[in-house]
Amino acid sequence: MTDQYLPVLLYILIAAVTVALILILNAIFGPKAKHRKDFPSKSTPFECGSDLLEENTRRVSIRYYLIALLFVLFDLEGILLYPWAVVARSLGSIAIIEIFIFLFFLVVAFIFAYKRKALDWR
Amino acid sequence: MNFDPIFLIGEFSLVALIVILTLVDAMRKPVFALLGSSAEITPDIESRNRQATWIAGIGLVIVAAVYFIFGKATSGESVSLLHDSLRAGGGVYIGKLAIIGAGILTILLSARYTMAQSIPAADYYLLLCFSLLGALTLIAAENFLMIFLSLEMMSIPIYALVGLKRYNSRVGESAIKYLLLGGLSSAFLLLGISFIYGMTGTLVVNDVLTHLSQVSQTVSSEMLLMGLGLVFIFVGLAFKVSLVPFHAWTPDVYEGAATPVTSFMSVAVKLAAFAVILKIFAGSLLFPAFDPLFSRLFAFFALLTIIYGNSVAIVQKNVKRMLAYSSIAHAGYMALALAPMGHNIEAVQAVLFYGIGYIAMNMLAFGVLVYLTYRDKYCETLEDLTGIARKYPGAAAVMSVAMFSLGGLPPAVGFVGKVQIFLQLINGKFYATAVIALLFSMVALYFYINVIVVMYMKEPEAEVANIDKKSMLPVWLTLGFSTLFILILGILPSPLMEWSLEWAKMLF
Repeated sequence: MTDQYLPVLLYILIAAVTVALILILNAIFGPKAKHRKDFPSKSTPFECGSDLLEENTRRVSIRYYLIALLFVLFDLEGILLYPWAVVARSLGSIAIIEIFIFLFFLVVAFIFAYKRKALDWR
Repeated sequence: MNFDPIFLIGEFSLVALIVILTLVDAMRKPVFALLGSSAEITPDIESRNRQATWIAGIGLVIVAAVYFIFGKATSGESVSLLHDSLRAGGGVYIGKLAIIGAGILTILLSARYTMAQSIPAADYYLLLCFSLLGALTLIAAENFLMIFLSLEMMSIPIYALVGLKRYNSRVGESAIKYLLLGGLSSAFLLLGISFIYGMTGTLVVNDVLTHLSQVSQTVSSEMLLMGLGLVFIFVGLAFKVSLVPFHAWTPDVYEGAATPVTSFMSVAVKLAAFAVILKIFAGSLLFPAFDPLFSRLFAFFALLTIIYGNSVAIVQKNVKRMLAYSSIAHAGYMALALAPMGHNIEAVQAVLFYGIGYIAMNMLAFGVLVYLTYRDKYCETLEDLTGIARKYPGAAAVMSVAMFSLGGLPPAVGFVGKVQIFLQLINGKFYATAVIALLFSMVALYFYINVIVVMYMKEPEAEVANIDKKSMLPVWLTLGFSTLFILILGILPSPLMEWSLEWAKMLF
């Protein structure tokens, strides 16, 4: 039974060896600095890219979370309506009733969000 | 597909209540706008809260009545619904009624509390109803995915409920603590479920249990992975019932949350989570490969929980914190009966009996705290309770009933519950465990009796604060019902024994 996991073990080994190899080769052949300040670009996040535009820890407006939540609402609707549309004809009237029950609850949630001014972008 | 909606009548009517509550509240100007700088409370919050309270209270009573009348027809035999994901009918009927009952008691307690503390009541009751719905499906769940989904549906509204008084920093702390640790416990649960699914290829609990019974007793990788999966599932659920060492969130969250929310959390969530533990582990203990391991595991965790909960509760000055530690200890007592449960249905029944009785006891204890809370005056510490007996004899009397019951003294229902659990331990030959647990329930008596001593025998240092007795009827309904429940079923416990036995048959 454990034989099946041999490839996984192999994969872990290869990954570890590759990383170790790169680090070791780098240490042997790379330019050596006594102090980090000799190479100031070494301490930037992207050693060979453009400079940072801003810090990544800035605060995000709470509104984005609301938009994300509303996105879930509509995303769910879309995801379930597509496969439903494919099989609706073969399932018959019960499918229509079921999808409308489902849509009803989404509409209730949407009314709630709308009345709470979640879409009111001031 | 044979699907009879009558079996889910309770859930359906609860969903209808949720929809009505949502729409009615959405039609009015929001108490808190989701966006913008409207942190201040709109002036008509009183009438808004009153409206939401009436709808939620009457609605939930109707849900209970509908389920009580129409669901009764289903209490005969049980059926599997929706491709073995829910089991409805039979003894689950009892469990669902108990959970809905806890919900009604909570709403009665909340009616005045939300008004006094300016909590947006519509949001509050919506979240409460969602959590209730999750608890209802959780105790009926037959499928690991359904268990996970219901558990989340039960817990996520509670995270929000705990944080609803959001202008208080202590509340924020407890809400975020509960959210993070709850998320962690869900991760453990999912990991366990994925282990079990990987080994058995099915998510239906009964099929998994059949697989487990075929696991051989010799140590093998199969047994190891299955055992690991079960342990992870147990850890995930132990978070919810706050067994030591997974209890760290309990005192802070219980203290920070609004008192009615605390009472709901400590009874309904705990009972539902215990029902799931029983459903999964009551069967798995019968299996030769796992019986000794899990018996010892449960006994160990339960003893640890009892010892820790009762000893730390002694030094608490805050009554809510003290009740939190006592609720940890009570989870320990319920978990004690898990140790011998592989061998008899009575042990399962003892846990459920204790769980249902615990609803009344804790509702009563927290209800008195709600009774004595008004606007800026919180009733939380022992000083707040000092000498209240002269001014509020009724509250002091029912608090004493609650303390007697929690401490396990006759003639309260807590006594019968403890007797049953210890009988099961002795029948299962767990003598040492029984002795230690018994000793620590003596220790527990100290801090329960201390509350009564403080209330009756000490003179208050300051003037006992006046509370507004307006709209006190709902709180008294809860207090009265719980007191009667505790005393009547403490003296004549046989109906509750039959009910819990019926429920136990479903889980065994």
